[in-house]
Amino acid sequence: MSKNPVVVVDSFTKVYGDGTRIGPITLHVGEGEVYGLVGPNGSGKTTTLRAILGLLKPSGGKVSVYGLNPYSHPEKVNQKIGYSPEIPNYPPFFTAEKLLRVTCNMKKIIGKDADNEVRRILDLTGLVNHADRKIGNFSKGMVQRLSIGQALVGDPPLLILDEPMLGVDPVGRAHIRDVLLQLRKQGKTIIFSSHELYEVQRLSDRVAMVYMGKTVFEDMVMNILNNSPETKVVAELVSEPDGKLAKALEEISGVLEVAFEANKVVISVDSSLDPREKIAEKIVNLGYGLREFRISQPSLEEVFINRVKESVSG
Amino acid sequence: MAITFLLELGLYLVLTRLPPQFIETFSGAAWTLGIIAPSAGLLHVLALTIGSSTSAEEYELGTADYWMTRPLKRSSYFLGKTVGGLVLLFLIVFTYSILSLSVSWYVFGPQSKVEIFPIALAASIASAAPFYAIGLAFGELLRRSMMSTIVAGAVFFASVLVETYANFVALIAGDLTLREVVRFLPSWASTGLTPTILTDALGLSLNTPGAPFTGLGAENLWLAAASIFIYSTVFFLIAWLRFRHSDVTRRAL
Ligand SMILES: Nc1ncnc2c1ncn2[C@@H]1O[C@H](COP(=O)(O)OP(=O)(O)O)[C@@H](O)[C@H]1O
Ligand SMILES: [Mg+2]
Repeated sequence: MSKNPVVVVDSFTKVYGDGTRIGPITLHVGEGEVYGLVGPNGSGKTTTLRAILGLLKPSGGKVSVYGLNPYSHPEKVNQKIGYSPEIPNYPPFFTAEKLLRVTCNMKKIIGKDADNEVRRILDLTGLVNHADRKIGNFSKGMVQRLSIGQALVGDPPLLILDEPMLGVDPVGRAHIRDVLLQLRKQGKTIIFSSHELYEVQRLSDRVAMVYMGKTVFEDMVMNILNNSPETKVVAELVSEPDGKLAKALEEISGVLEVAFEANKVVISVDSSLDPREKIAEKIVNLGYGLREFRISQPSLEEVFINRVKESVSG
Repeated sequence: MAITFLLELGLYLVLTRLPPQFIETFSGAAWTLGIIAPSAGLLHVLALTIGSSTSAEEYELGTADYWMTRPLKRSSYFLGKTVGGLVLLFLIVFTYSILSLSVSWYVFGPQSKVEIFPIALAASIASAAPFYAIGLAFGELLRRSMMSTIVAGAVFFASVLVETYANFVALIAGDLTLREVVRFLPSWASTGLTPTILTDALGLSLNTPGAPFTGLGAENLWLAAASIFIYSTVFFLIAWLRFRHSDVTRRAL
């Protein structure tokens, strides 16, 4: 990894009192990255995030945040972290503003600075008009936004958001997405978890996929989408494709499978061999005529499901 | 809490109904009764309840996560909570003590020896420390305030029960070693300290140790202080170690 590592989780394992086993989980989060932790419910995302926050003691492996062990130095590590929990739990009789003020206080932001900070966050999260309302009367989406808001108090460089979209309606989601994209522009390092791959694909630079307590894989989203076996070449032809073309294409090294859909040829390729040029050449040379030639990327979800299948069978 | 104040008022209501010649003997010191009576039991139940919820409630409400992800030392957080609980306890003790004093003044006329009021307060708080700490420890271990109140309460009642029974047997059998053994119980010093100090200060030496509200005998004060110190320290330590060396989670395991 080229960037400065902010969070390193190396073969982290956790064995809970009831025998539930999580891990080994390995993550590398670089400075300024938006890092998505994905996996189905119960796969160990929250456990991993809580270890990063120093809220639980790893049973094995190493967790380091800015070079520090968070379990031994929770106060130093949390100085640099803003955290929004999976299930935000704030005193229901607090108003939004009161929660933000208390949080300012905890971070030693006082007086005028606190006023400004509270205003900045109410603005950013779109809660200005609800500042004086009690949290108990908030909708799920508003609580999530407030929860992200309190994480932003004091402008910490690292944000840890556990399922920030959980239970939020589409409008609320769009708002949260905007907030996250804005933060990303500001260069914040953001680690967030989600069981919805679509959200992760839209937001993150890098993802780790965990399944049944283990990291299945970790990579840049771009690499995953460009270089997975699910990546297909789609060629639209002038004349209809036939068996002869199929045979010719299958001879090219790197071509795994050829299928036809009306005027289109859909070709699975081994992207490490990148046979795109040869495919195009052959189609043209054989006189089928090329109208369109493109790469069809899989969704993160397809990739994930296939990897899980592989890791279970292999 | 409400029960404490009801008990106080009930106590004085009963006192006014007693034959006047009986009341005359102590009416000047009636205010101390309102402080001694809770120290026999209610004060400790109150202390262990406050201790239990002080440590367990934050987990139950889910607000522990919030506090533990602030730039706050674990020790500061723990100390802050512990002191907070003690302050609450103190406020309650202070309120019912003042209530005793004023009601006594109103009902029985001018009260004497009021200068020992601060000592009475201090004794009450000190004697409540062991069961406050026991509540704190069980709250931290079980992470359920209700359950830990029940368990710590059971410890208290068991201790009182064993103590009463042993004293009773000792009285009948004339076996003094049983009396010695009883001193190892956490309730021995907790329930005995305040009445001992107060009756001693008032110059009322009732000299029937083991009988209710009469105390442990002034000669045992140092031993009682040591017992209170040791029980409080040990359970504070258990609470702290459990807090520092376990995950922040609602589950007890
Ligand atoms: N405190 C705990 N004690 C015992 N098991 C737990 C505890 N916390 C989580 N688990 C278990 O660990 C597994 C992973 O949980 P979690 O990390 O919350 O997954 P995710 O966030 O991916 O949904 C689940 O099976 C869950 O029941
Ligand atoms: Mg989770």
